[in-house]
Amino acid sequence: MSSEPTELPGRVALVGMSGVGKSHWSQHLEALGFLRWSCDELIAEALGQDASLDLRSTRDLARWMGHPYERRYPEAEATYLRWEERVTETLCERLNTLAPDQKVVIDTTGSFIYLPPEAIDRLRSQVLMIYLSSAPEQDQQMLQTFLEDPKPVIWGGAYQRQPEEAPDVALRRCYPLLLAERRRRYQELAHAVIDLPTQRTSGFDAEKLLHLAQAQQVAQVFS
Amino acid sequence: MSTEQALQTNAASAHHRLDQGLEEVILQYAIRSFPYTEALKTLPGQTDERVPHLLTRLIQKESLKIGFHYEEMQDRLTLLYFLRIEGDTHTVIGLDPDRVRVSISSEVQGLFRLDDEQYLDILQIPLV
Repeated sequence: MSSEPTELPGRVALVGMSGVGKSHWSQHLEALGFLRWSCDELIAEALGQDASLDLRSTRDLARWMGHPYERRYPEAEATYLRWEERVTETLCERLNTLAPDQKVVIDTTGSFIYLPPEAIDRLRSQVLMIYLSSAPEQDQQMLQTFLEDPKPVIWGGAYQRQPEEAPDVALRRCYPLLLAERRRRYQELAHAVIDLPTQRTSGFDAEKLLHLAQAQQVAQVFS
Repeated sequence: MSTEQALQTNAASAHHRLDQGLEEVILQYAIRSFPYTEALKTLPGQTDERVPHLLTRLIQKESLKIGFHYEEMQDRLTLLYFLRIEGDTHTVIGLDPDRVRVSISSEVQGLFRLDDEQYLDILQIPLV
């Protein structure tokens, strides 16, 4: 084979549920020379600048957002998504100003899929979008993690309380529905899907992640 | 035997060792003359200059294999591009991926020769 230089994708966005490895892999890519942009951190930073909200940590953010059965939730959800859209737009603009060979990994939030389609499409056209997938069998564990250590969650209408149903019971019932809907949307927008067993394969590293995603993306072009 | 079955049965045994110099020449030709560059340019960051590097990488990482058929009488070389989907399963770029699944052993790397029977089998598959 030729010894000419070969290249892996240099602009990547990682999407998927909270806790599936987005931050983990973005840090590994950072170690390979990628600029790492964390949407969670950027949104928290933006919201943190609003002194009236008094947000200093993810836990503060979760407390501020609250649960979908609380009165303040719809407004907090809308505010969060507004900021997420602004942050995403800013990142898209930044991508255009960088040198073409500058590698970037964007660690998106779990709620990226709830942005307006134009915002999603704009980022999708600029990066290789990799969905780090989780299996439905992990739903119970994810619910447990959410209950024990709440993070700000955008429900996007997935919380539907039935008459006479207690709020926390409805939340437990609706959480798997939320995850199922998210899975469908992540799958729909991703150029490539890397599942957890693959991520845990012996010797699997950031370079293999990129290669596998790139191969899937090429296959998608010809499918 | 359907076309698909025939390909699955035979393609894995299609690897004949070539002189390394000749293999390199055919591979480079296959990369330079890749007929679907425009499709790959729809991917973010891909340009005319970058596509050959992408193809080289896909070949090195065994995601792409190139099958060639040489007709001596007419001195005609035909190249087919096999894209790995999962495990040994490949599709043929340009042919209907829902109808064509070719099994190619992982021992086959980069370039391999298609014999007359395999080549004729593939010719029977409708283009996309």
